[in-house]
Amino acid sequence: MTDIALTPELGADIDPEPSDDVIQPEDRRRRRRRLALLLVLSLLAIGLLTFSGWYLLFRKPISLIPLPGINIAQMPNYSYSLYGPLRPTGIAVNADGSRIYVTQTSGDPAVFVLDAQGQLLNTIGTPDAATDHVFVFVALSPLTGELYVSDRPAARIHVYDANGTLLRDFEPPASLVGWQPLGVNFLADGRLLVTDAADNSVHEFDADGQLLRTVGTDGQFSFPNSALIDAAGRLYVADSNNGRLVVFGRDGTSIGVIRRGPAAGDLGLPRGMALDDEGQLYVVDTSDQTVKIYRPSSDPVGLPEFLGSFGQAGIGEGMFRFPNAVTTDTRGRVYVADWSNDRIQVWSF
Amino acid sequence: MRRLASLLAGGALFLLLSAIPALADGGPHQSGFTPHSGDSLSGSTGINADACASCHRAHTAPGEYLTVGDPDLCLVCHGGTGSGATTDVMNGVQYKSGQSHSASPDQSAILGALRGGGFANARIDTANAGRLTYTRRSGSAGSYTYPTSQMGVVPVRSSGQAVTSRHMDPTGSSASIVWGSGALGTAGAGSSITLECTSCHNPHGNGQYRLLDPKPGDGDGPFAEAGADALVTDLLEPDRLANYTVIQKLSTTATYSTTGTSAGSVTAIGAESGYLLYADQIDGVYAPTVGDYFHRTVPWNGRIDYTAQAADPSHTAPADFTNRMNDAPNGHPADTDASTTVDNSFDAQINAWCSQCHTRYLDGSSGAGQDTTGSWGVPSGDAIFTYRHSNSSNKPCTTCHVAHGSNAQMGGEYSSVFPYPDETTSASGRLLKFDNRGTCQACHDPTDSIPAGTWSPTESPVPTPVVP
Repeated sequence: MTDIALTPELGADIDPEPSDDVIQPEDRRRRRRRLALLLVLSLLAIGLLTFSGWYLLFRKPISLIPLPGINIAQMPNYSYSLYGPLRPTGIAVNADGSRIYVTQTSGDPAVFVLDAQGQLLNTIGTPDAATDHVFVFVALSPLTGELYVSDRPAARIHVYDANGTLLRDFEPPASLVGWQPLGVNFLADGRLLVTDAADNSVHEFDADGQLLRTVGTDGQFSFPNSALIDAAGRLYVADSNNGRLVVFGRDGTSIGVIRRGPAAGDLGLPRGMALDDEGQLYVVDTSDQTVKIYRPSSDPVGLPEFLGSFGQAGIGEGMFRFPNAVTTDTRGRVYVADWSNDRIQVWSF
Repeated sequence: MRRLASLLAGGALFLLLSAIPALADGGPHQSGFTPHSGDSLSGSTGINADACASCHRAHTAPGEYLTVGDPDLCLVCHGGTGSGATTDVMNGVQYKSGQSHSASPDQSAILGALRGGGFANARIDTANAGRLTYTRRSGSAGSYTYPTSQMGVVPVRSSGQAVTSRHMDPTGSSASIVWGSGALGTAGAGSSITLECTSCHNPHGNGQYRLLDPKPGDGDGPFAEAGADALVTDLLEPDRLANYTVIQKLSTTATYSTTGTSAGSVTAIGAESGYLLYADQIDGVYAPTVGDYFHRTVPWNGRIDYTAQAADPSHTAPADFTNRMNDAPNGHPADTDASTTVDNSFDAQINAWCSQCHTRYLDGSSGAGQDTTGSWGVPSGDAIFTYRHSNSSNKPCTTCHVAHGSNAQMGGEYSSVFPYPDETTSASGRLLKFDNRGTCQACHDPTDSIPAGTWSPTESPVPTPVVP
């Protein structure tokens, strides 16, 4: 048996370890750099992962990431237009923007059901031919997904399922028979707000369709086209023909108005309104050919703060001719019914 | 550690890159990108100089009051959206306003049909028109004659029907011929213009019925301008602001006295006090769709109380107390102003109003042997508008025509190719109130053989009048 012994020479051939006194500081710095780089990369990765997860969850553009303590007034940019409905006056969209409902008021009255790319999925016609119909505004119930369509000449609000099958007519109480419903808007809890051109009032219904209150019967409104309630319980009424936005507190008392006038944030002919999931208030100013954005006040009895507006008069991209309605999805997109241009404009942040 | 960090970074980068297409928020119809440019886009609000420019032009305005004359400016409230006015001129309806919900007997939001029809749809029940033959007294005492006359009746549809003719292209993009414009003898059938809402209406208001412009088209015709504060009130109830409606009452239980005590004259339809119908009088059995498009009288300020009118010392009582003496649409009382010799009667004023554009329909000629008032027997001297239907004796233009649009069907063999004055042909409804040329039959019986008291075809809603 032969023992193979490691000769001392082999060990002697190996370079001895460098002395700590010569190389340790450089190595230390290198290690520090590596650690710092790794730390930065890790933070970046965590940030990107956080954003990516946030985006995948909420499908929001990066510009809408909320930054604590920083309020940046951003205006959306024009993205594209969808065509099909003629003289669209009302628009509703589901949460992810995959289904868009648009009213047509020229030609045969109808509600066009479009997908996110503008492909026509369905056309909802009039429920009967016995009387005249004009589909003015539409709203989607957040609880049932049902589509509510106001029909002023028929004095009805028709209720359809998401595919356009007529389910029923919304039945107002006997005291409202003969109403002329215009604007319809749902709140997150299923409450429904209806503006009424018959006596220029606003009606609030609970999720079961029971009338909760009526505002404006003393003649203070003129053709209100839209009404909304924000997270603080304030009621906003687009008092259209008076050219103003009227704000009421949670208790129903008047807070004030955004008036008609020339100053920034003043209004001309406000019609459709929407609240996005960030709580921002969008008001279509039909005669000003713009959509104005306001931030509800942190003061429970404060008026909303004007942030800016987008759009201008014209027929080109990003231009409006008498826009009439606005809505938003949860992906930061804003949809505007560009009435006289016969199109739906999609703006995004 | 490094591998873990690289994995985290790579994964995050992958997810981020995957999200980019969605962040772009594009779509198949995206054709460009218009960035928001800050204050330049957000500075135009309310009534400032820019807002003025959406309606007005300082030096190039095609319409009065320096308006751009864009029909959409009017239609955004008065059009088919139904979201800003009680009148919908596209669908030819008027909504109720300021009503108490519970007081609405028919639960309908519609008050009635516009007398002018609509630019897209109208409710003229041209297919169910009828007529009543009656005897009337003519001549003077001692030499009365009792010829037979006819009264046309055009019901109102319960829903709209697409129009076959309209006075204006609501898109404002196409010109039309003003038939008979110009003086007698003018070459051609008429000039070509693009009508706009502001051609006839004053959007800022002028106290006149339907904001009718006192002088349409800036003409210099005989139409008399009313004072700025002219009010058209109901003489029967002077304290009440007349709520001008579009419907006139035709009682379903009306009786027609064709051989009555008044020497064969036909009595008013229903009670005389209800001969005209105001918006706030529509109740009970008178549904908004009950009416008569063909009625000769007008819905504003009917001077039906002849006794009261004659006793009114502020007016010169004309000899002819007929419904033609309603107040004029420009607010003038229905008397004859001796100082200016202007005939203020409704008939005279509405004819003057229409003929400011359609001049040769009624323009008189002083040439020897030529007609001076419009006649079927005396030529006017014009090469095209040579013989013209008279507009006298309670036959203003609006007796046969509507102002906005008509759904009259012109499918007949001759009516479908009825020539325009320029010899072109079309099945257009010509703003008439009867299918085909039932307009003629509403008043004329060429056989002169229909007994008085006869409804043609029946008293029930029936097809267009037929020749017996």
